[in-house]
Amino acid sequence: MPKNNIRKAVVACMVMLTFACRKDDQSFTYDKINNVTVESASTAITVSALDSLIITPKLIESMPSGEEYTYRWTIGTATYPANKDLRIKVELAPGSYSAVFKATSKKTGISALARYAVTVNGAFYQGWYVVNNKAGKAQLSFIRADDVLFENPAETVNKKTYSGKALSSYATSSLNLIYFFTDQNAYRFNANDLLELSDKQGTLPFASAPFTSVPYYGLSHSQGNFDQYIIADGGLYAGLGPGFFPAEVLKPFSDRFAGDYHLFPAVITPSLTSTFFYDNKYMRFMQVPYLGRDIGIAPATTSASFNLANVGRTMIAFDRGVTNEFYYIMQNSTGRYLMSTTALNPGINQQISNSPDINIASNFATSSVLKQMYYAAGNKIYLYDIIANSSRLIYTFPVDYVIKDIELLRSTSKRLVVAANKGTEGEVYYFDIDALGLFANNTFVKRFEGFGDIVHVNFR
Amino acid sequence: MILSTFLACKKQDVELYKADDGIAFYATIYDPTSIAFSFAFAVKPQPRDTIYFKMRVTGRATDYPRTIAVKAVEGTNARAGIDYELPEVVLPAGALTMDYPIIVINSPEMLTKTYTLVAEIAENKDFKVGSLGTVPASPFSENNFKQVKIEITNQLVEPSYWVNTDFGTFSAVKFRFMIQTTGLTDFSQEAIGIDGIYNMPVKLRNALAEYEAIYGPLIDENNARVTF
Repeated sequence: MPKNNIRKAVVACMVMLTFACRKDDQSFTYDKINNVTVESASTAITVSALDSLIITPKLIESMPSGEEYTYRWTIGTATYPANKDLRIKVELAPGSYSAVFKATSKKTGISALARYAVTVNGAFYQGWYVVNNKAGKAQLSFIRADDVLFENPAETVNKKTYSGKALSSYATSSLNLIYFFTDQNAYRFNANDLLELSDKQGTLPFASAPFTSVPYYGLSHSQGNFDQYIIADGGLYAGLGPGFFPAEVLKPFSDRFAGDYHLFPAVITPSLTSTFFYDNKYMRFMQVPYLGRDIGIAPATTSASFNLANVGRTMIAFDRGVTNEFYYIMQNSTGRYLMSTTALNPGINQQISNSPDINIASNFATSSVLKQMYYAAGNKIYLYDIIANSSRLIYTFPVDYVIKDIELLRSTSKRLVVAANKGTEGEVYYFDIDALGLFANNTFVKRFEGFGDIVHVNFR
Repeated sequence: MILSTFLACKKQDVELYKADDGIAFYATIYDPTSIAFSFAFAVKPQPRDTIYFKMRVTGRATDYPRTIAVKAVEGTNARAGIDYELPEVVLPAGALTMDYPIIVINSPEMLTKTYTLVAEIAENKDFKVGSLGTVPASPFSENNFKQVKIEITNQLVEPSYWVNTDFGTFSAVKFRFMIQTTGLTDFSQEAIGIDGIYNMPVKLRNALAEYEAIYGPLIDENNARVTF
């Protein structure tokens, strides 16, 4: 390389090094900008599917100057119209979502974010199904937990009329299913949206219809959920539960279990390994092992308060007590009896005395917190003190009302739901229960009208 | 230096492993490796039927079709052309697996007799035997093997799947009753579903109760009472 070029390069480097660094006088000019934050009344929102979701965030500006913003709403992976307020019909599947709101200043590009926890419940997530017959149609009405009343949602959702006479309905939380029985048919619905999944052909194809008594549905013990059972006209039918075979739960139920029996409509689940039933023909308990398809007589308990294998009375009602405790109302020619089992060990066995109208009572509900039972006869509701073995009248409907069903809110036993008909017009009443088991303020707290002839209520 | 850079590397031919391609039967844990086949299970009388077994190449795919041959070996008392056929089949170009068809023939003697066919991969110009083992090394893994075994008859024999059902001890009388009651001939889980495995005995118990109410207990060929 020529020496001349080397000299030029060295000079160039020296010049660059000389001018590369310069003292900075650290003199800056600061301009205040408009800081924006989002304020919301609540960041946790619960909404039902198909309802409206409305979120109205408030932008708080540190220097309000009327500048414009662009907006963005996302829920999960979905984006929504770019308005400040979100107003949408909820078409998301039930579940938990994160809704994110972003407001960006068109002038400065500065954004403010807000995040909302949105819980979407099924449209019929919790409440009371009211089985009733109105204008010649079978209706499955629903009173949601937020007191919204759906008069006939199954018909609306499925765009079909349910003919025949409505008989009963049962919900299964672990299966997310609703069973609905008419005298002609047996339906299964998705519990979240009431879409019909199958009718009798796909649900209970081997049972004879019309049903001459009220069918009953129940799952085996909740810790196992191995089997589903339907009792129809005294016969036992089984389907696989979600415990072992969740993919099989929508398959048709079995044929009627072979045997000489006529079951009371009750599924008694004190045990993980066996489910119990009551045979009103031979007046004894029977049992089926989990995943079993044979029904046999329950073990004899000859030294207990009564013999499971030979009770000798007819069951007319059953309900739950505390964990693993079941109550039974039995009768024979001498009167009516309260009996109980705990983990299928015989417990209470007493004739119900000092109880007005007990021999004509039609509906019974036992508490899971107190040793008490409510029973209805005609237009009256009585409270039975199990320990004292006596009852007292606690509410009387007008004389032209007939009580058709009573159910306790099982999770607390602090609310009694009563269905009463005035002629063919049904009404549902909520009675809150105080610490003594009496109705708070001696009256109902809510009343729902507009039903037809109510035959059954059931909690979902 | 530049010159040395160019001269430093030189392409070297790498010797690749090369061997004759083989063909073998194979089975996953869900596939049977031996089958009890009965023409008596068919809804209508059948002169012949086909049973398929999975095969795969132990080697490379080729751009030309290849033939697969299977032969009967020791342990076979079934008669070629009378009780079975083992056709030579073509594996298409590019293919590495196929289902090999063993044809079973409903011969008159099968009404009273059961024949055994032990079929093994036959070496030919395209394939060596692709596995040394005659049966899977483990029933719980996917294996290659060279033999399959079929029991062929026209009698009601216990089907291979029977042990996985809830129908109790097998008997021909019981099986015939099941066929008459349900109209089905295949009671495997694949055919009747998991729910069928549990629920079908209920139907059969009811049908048997009706039968017994008229005719008394149903007694099978082993002089045992049929139950479900």
